[in-house]
Amino acid sequence: MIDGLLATFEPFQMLMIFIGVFSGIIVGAIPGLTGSMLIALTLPITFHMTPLHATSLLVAMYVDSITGALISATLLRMPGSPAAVMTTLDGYPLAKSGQPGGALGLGIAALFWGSLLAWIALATLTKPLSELAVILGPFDYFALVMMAMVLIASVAGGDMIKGLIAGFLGMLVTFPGIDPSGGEMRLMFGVDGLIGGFKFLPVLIGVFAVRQIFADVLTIKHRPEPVINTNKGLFMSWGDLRRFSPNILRSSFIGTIVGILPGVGASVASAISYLVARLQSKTPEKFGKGSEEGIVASEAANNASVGGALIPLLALGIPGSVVDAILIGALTIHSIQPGPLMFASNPDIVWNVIAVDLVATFVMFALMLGLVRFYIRVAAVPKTYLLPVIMVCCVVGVYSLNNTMFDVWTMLGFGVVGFLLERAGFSLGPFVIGYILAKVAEAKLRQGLMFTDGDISPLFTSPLSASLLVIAVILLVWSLRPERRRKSAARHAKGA
Amino acid sequence: MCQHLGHTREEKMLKKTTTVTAALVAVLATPALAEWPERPINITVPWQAGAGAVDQMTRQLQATVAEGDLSSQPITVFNVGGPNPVGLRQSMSAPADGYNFVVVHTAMMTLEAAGKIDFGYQDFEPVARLGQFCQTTSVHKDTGITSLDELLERAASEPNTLVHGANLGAINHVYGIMVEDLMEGAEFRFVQTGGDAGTFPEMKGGRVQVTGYSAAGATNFALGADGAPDPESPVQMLAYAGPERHQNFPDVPTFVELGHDLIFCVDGWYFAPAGTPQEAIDGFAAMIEASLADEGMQTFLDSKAMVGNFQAGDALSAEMDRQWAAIKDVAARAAN
Repeated sequence: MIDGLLATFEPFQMLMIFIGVFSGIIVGAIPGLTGSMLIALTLPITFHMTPLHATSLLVAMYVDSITGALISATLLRMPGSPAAVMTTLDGYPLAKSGQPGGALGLGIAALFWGSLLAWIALATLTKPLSELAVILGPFDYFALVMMAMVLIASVAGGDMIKGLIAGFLGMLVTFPGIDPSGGEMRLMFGVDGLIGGFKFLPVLIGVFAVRQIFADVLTIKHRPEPVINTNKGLFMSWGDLRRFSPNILRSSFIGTIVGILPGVGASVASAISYLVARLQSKTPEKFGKGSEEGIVASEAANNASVGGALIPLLALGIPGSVVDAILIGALTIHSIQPGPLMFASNPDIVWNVIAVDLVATFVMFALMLGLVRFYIRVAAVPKTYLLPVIMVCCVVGVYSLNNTMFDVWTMLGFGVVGFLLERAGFSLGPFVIGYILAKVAEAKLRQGLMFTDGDISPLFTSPLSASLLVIAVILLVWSLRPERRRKSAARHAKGA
Repeated sequence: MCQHLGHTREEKMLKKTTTVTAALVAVLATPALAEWPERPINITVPWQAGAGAVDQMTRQLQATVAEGDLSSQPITVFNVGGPNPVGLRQSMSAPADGYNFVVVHTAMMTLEAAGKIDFGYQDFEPVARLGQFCQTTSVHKDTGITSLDELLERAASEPNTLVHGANLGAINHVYGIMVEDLMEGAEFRFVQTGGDAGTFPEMKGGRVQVTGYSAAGATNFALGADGAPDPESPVQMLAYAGPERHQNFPDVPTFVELGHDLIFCVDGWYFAPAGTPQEAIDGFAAMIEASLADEGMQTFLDSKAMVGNFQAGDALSAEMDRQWAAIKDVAARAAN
């Protein structure tokens, strides 16, 4: 590994890492633009590079393509990537309360520590940890997702019924198109574009970014935005680090483990970590209203999940998500085939990837801190100028994802849906969580039933899935407690 | 008679005029290609960028053409993500001006047979085949099965118990059914696990007992760095569905050697919209053929365990008809 680390300090390689991290942060910060897109567009440029240089550039882009999402999620309430959806729930209220620097500083510190801790796991435990990716069966995954589903109840806010309805609506959105298990086309309503269903990015960008643009446009004349241009609190103090260290450690652990599991991803990692942080918090009522713990949990987990995803990718050649598959494709073009053979056939590349992940984490930390003042200024630009630019980025980004206009209409449609839901008092958190988790839950449950020829009993008898279901029930009861108490207090007050 | 003669002259004149007009109309209706190509050539890839061997093959073609000066104009690659039908439909309706092409593989036939698209390869102009990869049949070592015959006998004596990982309705599922059909009564339990990368964790975890990896997947998951079978891998290769043994695993017999009439290879085909000028089709095919002599292309194909296998013209059409006849009914069964 030392050789791999030393190789990264070669000037051209450092330049590649710097470019990779910088472009990753920029792409991550702009709603609609994704890491997959960046890697795919960069790929032809790398044809003339050596495999080491190409790997450095692509891996640096890969590991930092969601870090920038923190910025737009916090300053504009528009997550640059779906991975930062949970950050939006607390980052924006905290920034709005006059602490944009503090909110970003917390997020940057959390994502730095999350990346670093996941790197330690990657560098030291790749082989044993990669086994996790194959140990869990479909029923275990389903039970894990059920555990995360209870988050819907816990983030429903004041109105539990509305929260559950929003969560249910989010689940419904996953149904149209080719079903993930049998390949059947369903609920197409004669619309050809629906064959791929409502895709992840257009829906989330619509619900968060476009919905926010609509809301801002309607209020733009009545409410000139106060310019908050402060980066106070940007650097996390030692005291804060000590205060948040259990949260950082726990969230990074969750992020790394969830990252290892194929097909789950950073959004779920962030959601689970957020739930656990809320359950552990002494002030759970602050979640969704600017909780520092919420930002830390979400950012540490989503960045750790990227490092976690590298573990099965390198050790077994298993891609956990679309961007992983594209990275594998890109490396293959450079005659590098991630998988069991790679440790034996290309050890220099393996250690280079691991070293690049570490160096990119430090470069990202420095760049994020350096760019924050600039971003805060950008966020302070009058909305009349800023919103059209963001809207153009959303449209261009979402269109270029698959080069189909249907995705753009989906994004705009879900912008309207999100706007109307929020106006009607429905919380968007449950809607998004329902949407993110339902697809995985359906695919895994049906896969499990195929394995067992229709027998569901292993879900309850297998030790792992049964334990996870029990935990899910405990979490549900636990998360409902404050709601019950609140209602009971309200009843007592009424009675008095 | 004169009148008759005059009438004949008029008739001849009319016939001549009609012929010339028809020829002119035909010439004008077909886009004139002074020297193809005069502008960049667009290849639509109905997959997301970077995903899948065919996309990567086309990106290699793009680089090979640019570096090897195989065309006076560059290739632009246009990825249409989401399910294949979206990109295929767009390509079918693209202008047939000699500058629009689409790359796809056998998946188009499985989609058509399953009724997921209402068009097929017959609705395009076939242009060329660049290369192909063939499937293997592998089992988990824990099954104790060491030969194809043992596998088929087990699948026949204990039907619906051996779990076969596949992407249901897709190529590896169709292939699995074809293997199952080699022995009467043999029946696998097909489970949705996706392609090679999705199936391997399930096999390594012991939940999948049999599957059809591509040659690249089998190389990556079953062999060690020295090219010999990896003793730590759970994958036991039984047979290869190529026309002859694969250089990566020369000890694995072909189905034909084992007495079964089964060759199952996935071809990387380039098509053009119907009505594309022949000059462009021939020019594109010549470019594909020339690309196979490039070292970079050969290295790429080797890295994907693919075989460069150029085919164009009538031979290509005949091969597509042969594959369609073999796949049609099985793919329809896979969809149900």
